[in-house]
Amino acid sequence: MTGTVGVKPTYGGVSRYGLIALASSLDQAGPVTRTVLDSALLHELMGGHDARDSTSIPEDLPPLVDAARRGATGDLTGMKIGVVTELDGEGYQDGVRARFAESLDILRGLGAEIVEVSCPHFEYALGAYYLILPSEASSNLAKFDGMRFGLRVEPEEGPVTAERVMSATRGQGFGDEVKRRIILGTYALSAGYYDAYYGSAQKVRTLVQRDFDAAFEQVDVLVSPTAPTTAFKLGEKLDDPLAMYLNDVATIPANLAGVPGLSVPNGVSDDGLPVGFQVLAPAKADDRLYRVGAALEAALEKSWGGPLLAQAPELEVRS
Amino acid sequence: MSTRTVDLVDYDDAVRRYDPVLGIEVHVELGTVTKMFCGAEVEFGGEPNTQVTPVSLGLPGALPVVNRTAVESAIKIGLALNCSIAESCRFARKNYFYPDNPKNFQTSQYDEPIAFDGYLDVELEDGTVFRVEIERAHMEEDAGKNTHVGGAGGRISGAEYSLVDYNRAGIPLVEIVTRPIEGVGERAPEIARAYVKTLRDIFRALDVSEARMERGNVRADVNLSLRATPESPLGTRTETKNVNSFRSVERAVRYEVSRQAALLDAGDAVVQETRHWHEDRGVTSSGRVKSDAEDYRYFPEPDLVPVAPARSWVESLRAAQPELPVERRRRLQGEWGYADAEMRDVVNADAIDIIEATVAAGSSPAGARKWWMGELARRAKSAEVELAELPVTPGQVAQLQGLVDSGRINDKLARQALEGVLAGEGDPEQVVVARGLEVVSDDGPLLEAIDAALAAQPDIAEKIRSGNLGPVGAIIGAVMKATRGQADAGRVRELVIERTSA
Repeated sequence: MTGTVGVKPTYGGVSRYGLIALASSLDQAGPVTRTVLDSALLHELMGGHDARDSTSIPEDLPPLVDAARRGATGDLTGMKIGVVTELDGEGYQDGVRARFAESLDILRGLGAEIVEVSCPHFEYALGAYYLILPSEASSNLAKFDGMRFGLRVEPEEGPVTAERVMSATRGQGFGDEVKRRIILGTYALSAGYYDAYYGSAQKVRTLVQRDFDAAFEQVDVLVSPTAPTTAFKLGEKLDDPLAMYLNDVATIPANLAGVPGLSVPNGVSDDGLPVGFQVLAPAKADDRLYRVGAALEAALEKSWGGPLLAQAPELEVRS
Repeated sequence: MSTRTVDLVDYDDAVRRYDPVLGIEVHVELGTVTKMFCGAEVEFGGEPNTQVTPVSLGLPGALPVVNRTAVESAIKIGLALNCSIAESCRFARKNYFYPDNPKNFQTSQYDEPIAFDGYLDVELEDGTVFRVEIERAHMEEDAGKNTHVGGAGGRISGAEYSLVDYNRAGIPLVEIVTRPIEGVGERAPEIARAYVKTLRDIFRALDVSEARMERGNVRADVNLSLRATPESPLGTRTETKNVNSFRSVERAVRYEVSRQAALLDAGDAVVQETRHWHEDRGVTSSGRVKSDAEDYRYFPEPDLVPVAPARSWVESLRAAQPELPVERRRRLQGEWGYADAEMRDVVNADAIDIIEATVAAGSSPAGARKWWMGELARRAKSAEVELAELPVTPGQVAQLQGLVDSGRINDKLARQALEGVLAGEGDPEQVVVARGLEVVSDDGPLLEAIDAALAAQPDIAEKIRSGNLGPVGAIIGAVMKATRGQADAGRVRELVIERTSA
C-alpha cells in the first residue's frame, strides 16, 4: 500500500540489538526498498546470528539473493501457493481484490499451483496482537522516564520528586497513540485481568502458529492482499483507532507466529493508490518469499513496462 | 518517621500465648565475574557507575543475555537445598517505577523458578536439627543503590536530591523462599538465625558467593505472624526487610513477636506491611503497606528464551557438589576427636575454618582448639573483632603449638611468644629467639640452679634425701623462678631426684 517492497524476516532472523523496543516478541527489523532484489541484498547484510540478542536464531540465513535472482527468471514450476480464505472478501476494497486476483493469474501462468487454504484462527489474531503489543510496549517504554537520558520535564508546580518528574516527562513526551497503548497494556497485565487478556492472547497466538504449521504442510507459501484497503490519509483515522488497527488484519498473523512475510506492489486500486501483494513462508524459509516476490515483480513490471513507481504522479510542489 | 514508642509484650509471655510462624526470603549476591545479563564486571567498591554497560543502564536498544555461570550457581544452590531443578524455566518482568532500576522493571523469575520444592536441615546450638521447607530458589538481578543527600539520616524524606549508583544494578541474585516455617515456638528467633547462618555457610561451601553479611552479599527479609494456637489459621504477617546480620535476624524476630502480641492483646489487627529494621534501636518501623494494590504486572520476559538446563549438566553439577557444612562438621569432628560439646562451641564461635587451617599447618587438633577457643578467643572478644581479624595466622599458631609439643617452650612461655606475635614481632620462632624464651634444655645451668635451691632450703633438701618426695615442688618452683620460667619442669624434677638420691 506504499508502493514499496517490504519484508518482515523470520522472528530472530535479524538481530534486535540496537532497535528501540516496542513489543519485544513481535519486533523484527526488515528491509523496505524499491525492488525485491534490493530487499534480499539488504536482508542478507542485516541478518544472521547475533549473540547479543538471545532470541536471535543461531543459524545462517538461507540464500536470499540467489532466491530473488532465481525468482526473477519467472519460473515457479513445482511451487504450491495457498490463498488464505480468511484474508479476502468482506472488508476488502474492490480494487484491492481485483489486483490480487490478477496477480494470482500471473503466478499460475508462471507454473505455480494455486489452492485455497483455511486458517480459521486468523480472525482472532488482530485482537490478540492488540493485547500483546501494548502489554509489552507498556513495559518496554517504562524506561523513558527522564531519570537518566532523553527528555526530562519537571512539574510546573509542587515538589520535584522522582515520581513527579517521571509523570511530567511521560505526560509530555509521549503522543496520544503511545499513551493509549501504554494504558491498554498496563490494564491487560494487571493482576485481575492477566488471564483474561494477556494470557488469552498468548493462547490465540499458539493457535495462529498451529494454523500456519498446518497450512505449510499443504503449501510452500501463503498469499493474500497486504492490506484490505489502500492508504488512508495522514491522521485520518486517529479518532477511530479500531478502524486504523483493522488495516493490519492481513499482516498481523505472520507477526504473531514469527513467520516471515513480504509485500510487493501489485498495481493501483480504483482510487489510484498502490496496493500490495503479501507472501508468507514458514519460519527460516525467507528465501521462498524472495523467489515468489521476485517472480511476480518481474512479470508485473514487464506488463507495466517499468516499475510501478514510474507511474506515480508528480508530487505537487508547495511554495 | 514516627517516634511513637510501641507497647511490647514480654517475649516469653508472648510465645506462651501465641504460636509464631516464620517465613524467610534470603537474597544472595552471586560471586560471578560479570553481571546477570551483561558483561559488566562485578567488583565490590568500584567508583560509582563505572561497572556498567548499556544493558545494566537500561539504555534503549540494549538486550539481556543470561550469564551461564549464574545459572550454574543457582542450580548448585538448588541442589544443596534438596530442590528439584526445572527442566525449563523462564524469566519474568516485575514492573515498577523506581530510579534504582533504570528499565523500570526487574528481570526476575515469577511462576517458573529454576529450583523448587526442597528443604534444609538446620542444626541449632544445642544440636537439635530443625527442617525448613524450601518453596523455591529463583534467579533475578539486583537493583542500583540510591543515596539520599541532604535529608536526615540518609533517608529519602526531606532529602535535597538522590544519587544512583548502577554498579549494583544487574548483579545476579538468587532468592530463596521458605514455605511457612511452623512449629518453631519460643525458638523462633534462634531458628531464624540458624537458618540464615546455615544458608550463608552453604553459599561459601559452594563457592557461589563471598556471602559477606556486612557487605550485603546476603540479605534476609523476615516474615512473621502470630496465631492463637498451632491449629489456628495463619495470622496476618509482616515482612521486615533487609535484616543483614545473624544477630539482627534474631532480634528482629523477637521484636516482631513482642510487638504483634501487644497488638493482638489489645484487640487490634496486625497490618500486612513491609517493615524496616533499625539496627541501632533494635526496633522495626512501618514501611509501605503491602496489599494487592501493589501490582507488579509480571509477564514472561520476551527478550529472553527459556532456560532449559540439560539433565546431564544438572547431574554433573550434582556429582561435583562439594561437601556441605553439616557433612564437613561431622567429618572434622571425627578426624579431630572433639567431644560434641567441644565441636558445638567451635561451630558457634565460627572457628571451624581457622582451626582447620591451623591443623592443616601442622598443629595437633587439640592444640589448635586450645589456642583459638582459649587465649585467642578471649583476645578477640576483648578487642571486639573476629578471630580471623587477629594479627596472627593459623600457620603461626601451628608453629607455636609445635614449639610446645617439641618441648622447646612450655605453655607459659608460649603465651609470651604469642604476645610477641600479636605485637608484630614476627613468627613464634623469631619471637622465641629474640625474646630468649626457649626452655633451658642444657642440664648444666639447671643443676646449678638446683644445687643453689637445695642449699637455700636445707630442711626441704633433707626431706627429699630421706625419700619424701612431697616437697620437690618447692625446689622446682625455685628453679623455675631462677630460670625465669624457661626450665622444663619435668626435666627439673628428674634432675632434683637424681641429685638427692645416693
